[in-house]
Amino acid sequence: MNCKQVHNAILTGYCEGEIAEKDKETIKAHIAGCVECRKFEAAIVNSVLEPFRGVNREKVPSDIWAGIHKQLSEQPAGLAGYLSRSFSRLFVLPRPALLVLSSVSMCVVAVCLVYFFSGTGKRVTSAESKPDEQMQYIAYVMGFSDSINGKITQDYTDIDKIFSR
Amino acid sequence: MKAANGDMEAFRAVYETYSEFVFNVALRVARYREDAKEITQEVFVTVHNKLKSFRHRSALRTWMYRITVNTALNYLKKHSRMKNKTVEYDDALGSRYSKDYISEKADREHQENVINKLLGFLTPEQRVCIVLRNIEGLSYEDMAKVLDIDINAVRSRLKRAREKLLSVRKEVMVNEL
Repeated sequence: MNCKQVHNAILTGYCEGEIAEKDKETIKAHIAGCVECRKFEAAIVNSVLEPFRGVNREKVPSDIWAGIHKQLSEQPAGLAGYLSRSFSRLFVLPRPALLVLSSVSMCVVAVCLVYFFSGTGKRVTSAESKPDEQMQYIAYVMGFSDSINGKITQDYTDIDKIFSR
Repeated sequence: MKAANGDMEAFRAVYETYSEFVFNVALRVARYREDAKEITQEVFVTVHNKLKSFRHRSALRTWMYRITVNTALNYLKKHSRMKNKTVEYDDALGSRYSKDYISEKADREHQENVINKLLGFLTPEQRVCIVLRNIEGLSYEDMAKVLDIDINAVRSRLKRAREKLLSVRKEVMVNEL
């Protein structure tokens, strides 16, 4: 075990007994023969572990229970309360979750729009209607029919009238 | 069980049992007394609402530590912009000591100041690790359960936090003495 590994062990568990017994013995032997690691151990104990030992515990302020009681009694009870809490939780979603939700909903809207427009376009495709129209126009020009596209073309222009006489 | 079914007296007993550690963890993590009071209140409202769904897969204490830590971290994220409007824990402590603990030993006050200054140098996540381990005395395994991470991640977070503490300790000592 080198000094870096010993420093890591001192920082995370060696001084607190949160380390395997076998490793503990190896580290102990290293520290016994290494001045630098001994100094490092002393620094961790004095500066990082010791100041927190026997720290004062604060008494709980007496007005907290009153606040909790008030908040709980104002909450709607039963299913209504559960639903309202679940609904309000939607507005405190973490930012990444909101981003994913909004992206997904935008994608769904985009797909719906594409599907809708491509669907209606298909119903009026020129590929299906053009041959019929062309056949009717040719028939009209050749004089086999007096209608274009099913419409009777009675409203001739003046030139049409002259030639039709 | 009674507390889970909405019995307020039974829930009061839960509060009496656990409020001390909830408040102290909140106080050390948030560092402001008023914030710690709000966090404690929020924790117990959450506990009340979720007590029915508590499945006893973990100990109640571990479950409450988890709720406390998550509530405190979320609270700090939410209120980070308003920090300068609140009374600093150091100042609150100072005024409390001058009124209530005037006969207390000076080294105890000194220790409190050092601890709070040290914790102030850490990020909230690092502070949580130090509070759970050094003040609350949780094992690494329990910390992993509370923080919902594996034990190596606990070691890694503690290591970074302690390295930071070691680097700032000298500065704090100079200012304090």
